[in-house]
Amino acid sequence: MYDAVPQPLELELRDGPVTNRDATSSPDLTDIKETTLAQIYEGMFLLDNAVVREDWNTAKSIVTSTLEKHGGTIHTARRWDERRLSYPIKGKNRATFLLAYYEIPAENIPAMRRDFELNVSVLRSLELLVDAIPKGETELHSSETAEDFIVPTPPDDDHIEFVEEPERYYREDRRDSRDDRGDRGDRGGSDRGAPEGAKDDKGKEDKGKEAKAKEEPAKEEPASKGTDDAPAAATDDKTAEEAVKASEES
Amino acid sequence: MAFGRRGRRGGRGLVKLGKKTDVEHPIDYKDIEHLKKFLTPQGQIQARRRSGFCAQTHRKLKTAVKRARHVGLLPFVG
Repeated sequence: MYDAVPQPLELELRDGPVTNRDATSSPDLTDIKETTLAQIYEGMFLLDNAVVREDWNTAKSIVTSTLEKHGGTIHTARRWDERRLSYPIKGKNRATFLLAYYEIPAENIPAMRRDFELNVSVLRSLELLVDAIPKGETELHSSETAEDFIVPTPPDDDHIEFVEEPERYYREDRRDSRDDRGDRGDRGGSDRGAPEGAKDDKGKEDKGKEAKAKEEPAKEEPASKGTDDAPAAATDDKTAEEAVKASEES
Repeated sequence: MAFGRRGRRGGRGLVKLGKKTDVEHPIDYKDIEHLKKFLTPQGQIQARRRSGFCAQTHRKLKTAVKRARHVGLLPFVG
């Protein structure tokens, strides 16, 4: 990878020492830069099973054409697996995974990613920089390109079925629906839903009532305290006298 | 000096899940069955003292798990 980097001695032979700024202006060095930037990438693409069910080659071409559009050179591209996803992505439970190894200029990668994100058929993508293509990958790729290769049809349960939510139970509905019980009537000003002005008035009224209620028992208590025992004793005496009189008369 | 599973002081010993550096079985985000060995039932990455990995391998494990989560091969939670 680093063999293409020019040696300092060669650079000094030209007009003065070459800096990073000069590197872009020099045609020779830009060539070198381009060659060094094209590195091997590994891409994992999640394809929609609906597209795969129609035709695998069409689904595969969605990825390969996008890569080629951005100046990529595809070394291998094969169906890795068809799996259930751990969590739904773009409303899908299952996806077909396409594994590709390709070279692409580094400056085109953001645009390529954006294209994949906007594509509805590609649920998600992952691009990684790798040192080399793993062993056995080219053989698997060539086996897929063979005519007798059959792509198994993905199962149908890839789409999430949304269950309609039951109607929400609102507190207001509960207040309105008193069935046959009729109106509840006034609850003595302690209603939390009363308007602010009414609440204040009721509060004042309540305070007045409470004050009166406090005063009344205070007035009654001293009278009652003194007379509570006395009238009871008096009535007992009267009844005793009457009983004695009645017995004498009899 | 080996003290067995329970250790010298009789505490609960930790069973190491992996080797310090596993050259034969490199960590890859596509190898889900291998990665699952180092996750809790809730999908969290085990601690280094549990996995037995060196710092470098543990970082590789972390990256691989996060890549696998991104492509939906592993769950974020549960």
